[in-house]
Amino acid sequence: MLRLLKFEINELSQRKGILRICLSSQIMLIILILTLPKEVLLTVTMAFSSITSMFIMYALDVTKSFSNTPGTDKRKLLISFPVTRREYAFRSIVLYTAYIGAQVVVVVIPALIAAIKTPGILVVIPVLALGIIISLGAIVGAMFIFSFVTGTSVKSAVLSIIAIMPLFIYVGYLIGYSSVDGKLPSIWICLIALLVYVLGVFVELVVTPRID
Amino acid sequence: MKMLEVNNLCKKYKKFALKDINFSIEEGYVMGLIGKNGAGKTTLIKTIMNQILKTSGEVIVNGWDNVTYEKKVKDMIGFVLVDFPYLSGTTLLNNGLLLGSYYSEWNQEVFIEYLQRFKLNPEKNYAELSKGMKTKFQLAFALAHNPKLLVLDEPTAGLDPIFRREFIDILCDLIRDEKKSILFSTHITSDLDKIADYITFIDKGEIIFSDSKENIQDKYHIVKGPISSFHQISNMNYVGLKKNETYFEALILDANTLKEDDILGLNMIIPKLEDIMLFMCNDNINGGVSNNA
Amino acid sequence: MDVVIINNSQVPIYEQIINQIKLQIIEGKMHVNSQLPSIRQLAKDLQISVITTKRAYEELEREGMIYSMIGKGFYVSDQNVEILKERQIQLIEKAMIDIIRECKKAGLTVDKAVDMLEILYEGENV
Repeated sequence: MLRLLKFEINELSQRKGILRICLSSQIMLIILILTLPKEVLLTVTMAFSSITSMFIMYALDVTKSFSNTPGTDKRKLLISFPVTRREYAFRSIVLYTAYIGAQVVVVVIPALIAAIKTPGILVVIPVLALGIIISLGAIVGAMFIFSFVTGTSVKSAVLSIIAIMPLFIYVGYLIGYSSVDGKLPSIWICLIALLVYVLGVFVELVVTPRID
Repeated sequence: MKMLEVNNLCKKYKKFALKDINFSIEEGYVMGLIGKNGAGKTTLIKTIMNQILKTSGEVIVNGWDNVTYEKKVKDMIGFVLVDFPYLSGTTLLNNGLLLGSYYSEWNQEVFIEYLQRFKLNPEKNYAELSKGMKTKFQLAFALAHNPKLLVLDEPTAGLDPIFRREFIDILCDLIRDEKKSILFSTHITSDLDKIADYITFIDKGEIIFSDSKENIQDKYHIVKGPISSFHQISNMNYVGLKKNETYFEALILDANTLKEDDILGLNMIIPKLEDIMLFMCNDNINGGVSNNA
Repeated sequence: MDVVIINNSQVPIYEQIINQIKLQIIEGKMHVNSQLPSIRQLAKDLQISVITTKRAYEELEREGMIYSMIGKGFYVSDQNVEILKERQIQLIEKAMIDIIRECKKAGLTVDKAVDMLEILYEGENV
């Protein structure tokens, strides 16, 4: 198991190009934050974070069920080596959860820096962070569940996107909502998201290795 | 000691199934796997390697069940497969370093030696390799961790004739110590005419026969004769009959039981594997005139 | 050791190997107690299955043409001269039968054939 994670870290360090892009976009974002007027600040922050997060997703091979990106081949590759299905499942779970953490960091740090200039943002930051964790947690859980159900093909990619689209919309809503009001999402929403995440982990770790 | 045992293996898909696959390979021998496209060769290999989960039955490698001891078994298998997705963003050397570490007996020096022997530049990016070079890479990788079972799926397609000869020689040397076995699945049956000790023929997900090449060549003979002599074979066990106004030919299935008198005036030819496949598969397609006792 | 395989012949490969080795032993090209290539080496050289070479060697051993030493390999046996002679005579008989068939086709009587034989036999001694 450790070997798998070491392998992922090794592989990640190979993708120097992408990591450089992530770092530069973060730095650019921080520069923009320190120079832009506060009206456009949050929008710009969100936009840049989305771009950065896309690159992080690519770097981490998070695109599992969506089309012919390396992610789907990765399973085919690793399962042929002395790796059990359960180990591979665990690797996926760690990777995706780390992605959630990375996404939070990529948003929170620039927001904190922006708060230097516009202290009003401070109130919004916990909501932002929580919103990201909730929605991405639910998305990751849903991805695990749907990859089990549909396998990998164009049809399943479309189905996955349709299933996950409402969640992406909800992410946007949460972020927009929090940026206006600063109010934390209700406890029920948090619980549902947690449930979906846990269910997804269960499916990935226990169910999928038994049937695929 | 059997290196590979497949017992009552089944794999069900919606539109296709492997049914009751039974065969085995002893240490030190080469088993050829032949069959049409879509017959189930690749599915069978994927199931043996546990790339896909079987529906029922068992696969035992060197005495270990391939599900219960998944890692141990995979550690013993070296493979050359079609379109295997090694890491394209990086060098051959790195592929070895990153992926070789999964194997308990990985030897990076041996890996580099094989790369050089096959005229591959270790610093080259995997994505830049041609199809043939990718196959050579897979072979170098497979040999570098001292596998007990070598699984080859169409390994010689895309190789030039010079390297194909070297490939066969490498395989011969590999099994010389009689501690390893090879499963060789291919369309290029001429390779198996040479190196294979045993042949398993699969069609529509079922095993048609699995036997030593010697036995196969004793039992199966092509019979060819003038049309006037056709009556001579009417009581024999044959498939894939072809006949016109001048001559007939068919594949006899129990040639070793025939006597001199039975085949007087007829030509009996020892078939190549390709011939056997042609006669047997044609039989199935044409719903041909066959005489199976 | 000289062995040439013809593929697609009507003669099974193991038989071809047996015949060729036998011939070489009879002709004295392989000496008594000289070692034959190992089963696997021969298979590799001829690019055939080891089961085939094994079958050929086992048959030769059964006929007493070669013997094996465990862990060491196969060697040419001390050949019984009588057996060799008998084999030669069998070959000659077969050739004679073929010639007789040809003679009959051409309408040659047995006396004429014997005459021809005597002349040619003399000719060979010169």
